[in-house]
Amino acid sequence: MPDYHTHKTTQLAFAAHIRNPDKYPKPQGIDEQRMQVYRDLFFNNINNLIKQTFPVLATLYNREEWQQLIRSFYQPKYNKTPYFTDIADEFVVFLKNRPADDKRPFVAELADYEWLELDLEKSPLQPNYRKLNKDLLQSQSPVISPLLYARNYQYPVHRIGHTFQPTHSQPCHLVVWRNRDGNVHFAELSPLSMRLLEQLITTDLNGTEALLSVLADNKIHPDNKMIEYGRHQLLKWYSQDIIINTQ
Amino acid sequence: MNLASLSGAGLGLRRSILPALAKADDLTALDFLEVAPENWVQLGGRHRQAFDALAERFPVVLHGLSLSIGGPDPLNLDLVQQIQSFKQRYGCPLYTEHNTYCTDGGQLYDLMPIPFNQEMVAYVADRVHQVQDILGERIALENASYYLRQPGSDMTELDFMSALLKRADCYLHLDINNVYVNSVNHGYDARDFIRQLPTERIVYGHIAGHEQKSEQLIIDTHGSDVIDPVWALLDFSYHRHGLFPTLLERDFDFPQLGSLLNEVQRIRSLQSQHQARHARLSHA
Repeated sequence: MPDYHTHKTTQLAFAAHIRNPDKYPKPQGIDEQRMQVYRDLFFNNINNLIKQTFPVLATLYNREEWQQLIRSFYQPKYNKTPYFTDIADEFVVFLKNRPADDKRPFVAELADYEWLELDLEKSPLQPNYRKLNKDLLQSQSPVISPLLYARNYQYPVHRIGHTFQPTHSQPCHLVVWRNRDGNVHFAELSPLSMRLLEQLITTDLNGTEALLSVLADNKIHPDNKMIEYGRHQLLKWYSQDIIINTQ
Repeated sequence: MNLASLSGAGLGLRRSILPALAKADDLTALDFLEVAPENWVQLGGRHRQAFDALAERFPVVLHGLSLSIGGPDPLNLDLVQQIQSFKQRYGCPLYTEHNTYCTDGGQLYDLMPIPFNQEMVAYVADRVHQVQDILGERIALENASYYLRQPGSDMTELDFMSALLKRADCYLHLDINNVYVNSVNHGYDARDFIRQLPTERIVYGHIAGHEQKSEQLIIDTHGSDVIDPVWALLDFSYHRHGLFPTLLERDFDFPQLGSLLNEVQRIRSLQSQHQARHARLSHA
């Protein structure tokens, strides 16, 4: 009588064949037609899960290349989470750790960008949005929403699609956030606005100090126009639920 | 809510039908909902809020996907704990899993059949006990659909399930559609199978649509309406084993909500007929 260990070996061989039929042969004693049912069901399942989450990325590959990519991801070492909502996280990590794709040097960034929306949508955080006296945006330290990502990408990932696939770096600064209604938005920022936002995220400076320090770092004279630009930017971020409080 | 108070007919809750459910003004056909905890435990945001609103109105059964009760990896106790706290938070009356495996050191995100033999009975039963010890109550195992008999099987599915339920001291989650699918795919008599199941273990049922690929092959898709022979099997099961709360599963190709609710209503009608019949018999 076989003990469980024998079954364990068979179970692993069965799974290995489903994941990678070219590398691992079908275990003995299994009907080919029925094995095909499993190969197809399982591949289509993981393929659809990824495609739904990365709709833009999926359009950039031909059928064969895409299938190869999904197969490479569909391996025990990358598929650890039992939660279906976290499979996308693992796919992004997988792409970031892959050798560079010369044809599509932007894939890791694009996948990251597509993932941000999903990640913000599903985040369990529920920050308090405080109604503010607008002067406090300058005189106190603005609190940036925890439901926000500020990203400096090498490629303009928000414009990438089937007809636009840059192969040379074109830096772009994107902010992606969830507002109080649960909707995820994105905006492209100028390099200066991105610096200001990052300053607000990483320091406790008040609004005016943060602006002055960013201007000084960039050797820009803090004239009235620049002060007005800073005031306007903070007001806009407050109205967009990017700034949710001051302290 | 406890299991004893769960009754009637329910609908599997998928994210894609949340908006329709939230808007619907008549959900009287529904007695309960069911979710895969692996889709909801980590989820926040708008979808979670919509879920919370529904969970206020309906009991929610947990039907797991990732536990791999028959799998080669150590049980994921962290997952069990997460399910336990979700279950407590929402007062879920039941946690069920598939009698399959889905891991090989990683997750495959779909269900593979296990060999039907005495060693596996012992192995799975031991793991069920571990889970039940953590949860402090019985879980239910579902008779899953499968497309091939694993090498090393020397028991019938029926003998395997019966032995497992007894040894694990757990409940049976009877999936009527799976009995139909498996009876065609493996050439057995569906009524014979149902007739011989241990009545006292059956606490919960599923019904669903499937896709017939050929005379001998049905794929358990949950992507179409329930067919008449499966309704007839549900009728037969109620007749043989009495009523049990029964859920309509629909996982894709969603029709209008109204059409799903009609199918849920049909489960209720069937249950009412059996109740009436039972009342007549007791009276006589």
